[in-house]
Amino acid sequence: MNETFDAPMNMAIDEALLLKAIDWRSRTPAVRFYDWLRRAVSIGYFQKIAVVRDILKPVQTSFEIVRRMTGGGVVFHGNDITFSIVAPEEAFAGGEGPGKVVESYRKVNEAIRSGISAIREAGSGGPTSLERQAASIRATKLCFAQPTKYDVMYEGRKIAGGAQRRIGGYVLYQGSILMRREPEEELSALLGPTAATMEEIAGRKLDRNEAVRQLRAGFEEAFGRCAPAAIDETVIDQARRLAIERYGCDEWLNAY
Amino acid sequence: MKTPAELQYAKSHEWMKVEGKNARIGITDFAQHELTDVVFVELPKIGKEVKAGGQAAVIESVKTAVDVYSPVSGKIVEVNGGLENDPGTLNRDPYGTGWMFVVQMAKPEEAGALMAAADYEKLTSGK
Repeated sequence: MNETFDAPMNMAIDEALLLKAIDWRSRTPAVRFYDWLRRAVSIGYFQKIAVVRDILKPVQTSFEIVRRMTGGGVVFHGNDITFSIVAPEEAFAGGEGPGKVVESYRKVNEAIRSGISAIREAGSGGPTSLERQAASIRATKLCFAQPTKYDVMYEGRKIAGGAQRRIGGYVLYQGSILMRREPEEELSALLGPTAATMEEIAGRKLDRNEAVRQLRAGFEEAFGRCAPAAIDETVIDQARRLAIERYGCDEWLNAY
Repeated sequence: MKTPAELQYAKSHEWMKVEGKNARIGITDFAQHELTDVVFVELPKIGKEVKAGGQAAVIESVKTAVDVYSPVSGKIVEVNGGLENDPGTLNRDPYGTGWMFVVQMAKPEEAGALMAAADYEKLTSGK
């Protein structure tokens, strides 16, 4: 299903996919790439809405604001490629240090690194050096301004942001990769020089479908077997309920 | 990794201490090592009914929100409110000042399904 959904429905579909995987004890990671009906801002499960509204104050553009079930910070959607992965915890294993949760970011970031390298090389941009963030830095409320240990970096700037929810041995990973700079100056200024975009790394204008294809190949390389998320009628029905009862509700949005 | 012998353990990495009709619950030392720095804690409301194995709390570390389960069914009668201001207590003292909530047990026999320290150590030693 390639329909584009609004912010509450996008979040609800990810949760419905997670619940379905838990019900079915699915072993194969399910990857979903998705777009947004209107420009949106998603915020972390624990983020204070008042702080987020403060951050958005200088921005004229109107955004749908939605609280995610995953942790992390503020993410702007509309000029990004948003994706989610649902898989058992073991699928994310494979890091080298202690702290299973930190290590679980490694595989996703390897997938992104491989996808973006392929995009750049396909456009004769030549090989690029995508560094791996060595240490954890915590600074601001904006997701892209908080590199963690395994983030893929381009000239010192973060390329992708990600956050997780863990329930019953399963992981929902929600991620975002900036396609192009935000068109509004005040938004670009807000994000500052902390994030790099795919178009900047590729050195050309990118077609969304091409970018998704290369990223999907990157996920297959990193995770081995993985499948496009199956958004069937059951998932849509459950998502509609979750969108009404949770993600579209003021009570959920203003929880913190 | 510490695993005090006087506590009982759930597969989902919670510890439990029976105190008469009540059970005090928190996350294990193993769990806090896996999570690293806990930055947010959401505790259940007092009076909330929980089911054995059902979600009772949520914690966040490294941009990951993780559900914490109640190993037994019953009613929440006490929560450690101090954790919300100082979530790092969960890392520093998971079995002591880092306890999370107390459940008045509806079915005390459910405690029998939990693991002893030695079994929990076996479960986590291969990970």
